[in-house]
Amino acid sequence: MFARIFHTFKHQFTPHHTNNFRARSLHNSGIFYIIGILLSFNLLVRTLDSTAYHILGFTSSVTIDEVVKNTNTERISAGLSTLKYSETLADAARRKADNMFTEDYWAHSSPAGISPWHWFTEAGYSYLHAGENLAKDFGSTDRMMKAWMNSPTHRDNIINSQYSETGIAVVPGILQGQETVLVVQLFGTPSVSTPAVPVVEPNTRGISTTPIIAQIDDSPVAVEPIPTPEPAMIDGSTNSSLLQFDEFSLKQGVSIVTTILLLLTLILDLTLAESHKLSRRVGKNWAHIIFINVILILVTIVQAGRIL
Amino acid sequence: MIFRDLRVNKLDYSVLALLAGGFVTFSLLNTNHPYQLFVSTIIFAILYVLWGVWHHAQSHHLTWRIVLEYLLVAVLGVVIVSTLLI
Repeated sequence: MFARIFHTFKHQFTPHHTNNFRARSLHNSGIFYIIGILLSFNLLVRTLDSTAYHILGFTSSVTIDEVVKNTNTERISAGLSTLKYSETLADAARRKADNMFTEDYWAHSSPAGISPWHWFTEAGYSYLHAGENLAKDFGSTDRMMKAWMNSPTHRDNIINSQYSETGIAVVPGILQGQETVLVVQLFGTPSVSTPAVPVVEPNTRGISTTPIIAQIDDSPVAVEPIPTPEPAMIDGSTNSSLLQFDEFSLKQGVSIVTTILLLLTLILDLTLAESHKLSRRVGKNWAHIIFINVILILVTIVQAGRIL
Repeated sequence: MIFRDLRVNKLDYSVLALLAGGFVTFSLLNTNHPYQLFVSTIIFAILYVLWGVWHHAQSHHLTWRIVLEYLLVAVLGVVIVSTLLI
């Protein structure tokens, strides 16, 4: 039994007379099989996710209080004052998120041309300055904040000295056919007096570049952040199910394992071929190692979530 | 001893390293743009196959089997990346 396993291992991963002195998994047919396995796995994951059973549900641990906490940490680091949590802004954020799900769009302005600032007004928030950051598909608050901070325009919103309040909505749902957790973070400075008529439309990234003068309105209510009761999870099953995987993490894990195994096989094959002074007319292992390493780096840095 | 090939073909591997470095830099600057990442991965994969053909043609060792090997490795790379981006 062990001898058979050992022989299979040698045949698949080391140059040997049984495999024409090239690890079998590095033969063209071997690489072809790996491609086939990966494609089948991908198909399986998608199928499992789209069945009524929803074995693979999207899970997210993004919480409102963590977003507020991280935002204020970044502001303190930048030497700015912290933002107060406004329930009125949070209401505007929820209205925006609901509209995104209802109208099924991923953009700052709706397909009907409704700008983000409409939701401020509708929630009864009269502002001098306003901004909006959007995110979806993130599994954790830290990853999402990192993505926002790495984007100059989103970072400008987070550490904008003109804002004094923030409101956040973390809403699970199905957007453009995919399960997701949508995060809408609104920033604002309430107007002490008078009309909110936008002077200049904010840019497409959702950052208001110009102050906005507004009409008299009820001043926004500043309240303490409301913690999200449970991490957001969307599918019909329970939170405690052992079969719950984050689809992206699963795919990323498989991709990383595949590339590392391939790299190890290439290195082992190269080392043994050199030590046995084998002369082979095959592709260069070093070239494959460089290429697969680059793919590994890409697989590691690709983000699960999207920001806007 | 395993570095012998790198020493012998310094220029060829420098070109490949340059391509790889450029692609990694571009990817790091576009982590939030899946479409750009996907297109750049395909471009890098094509350049990789062309590098393989160029490298083996220089030493007159180029065969269809070798071209296919580079093609398959390139496709494998694109498949791995595309499962995460699409």
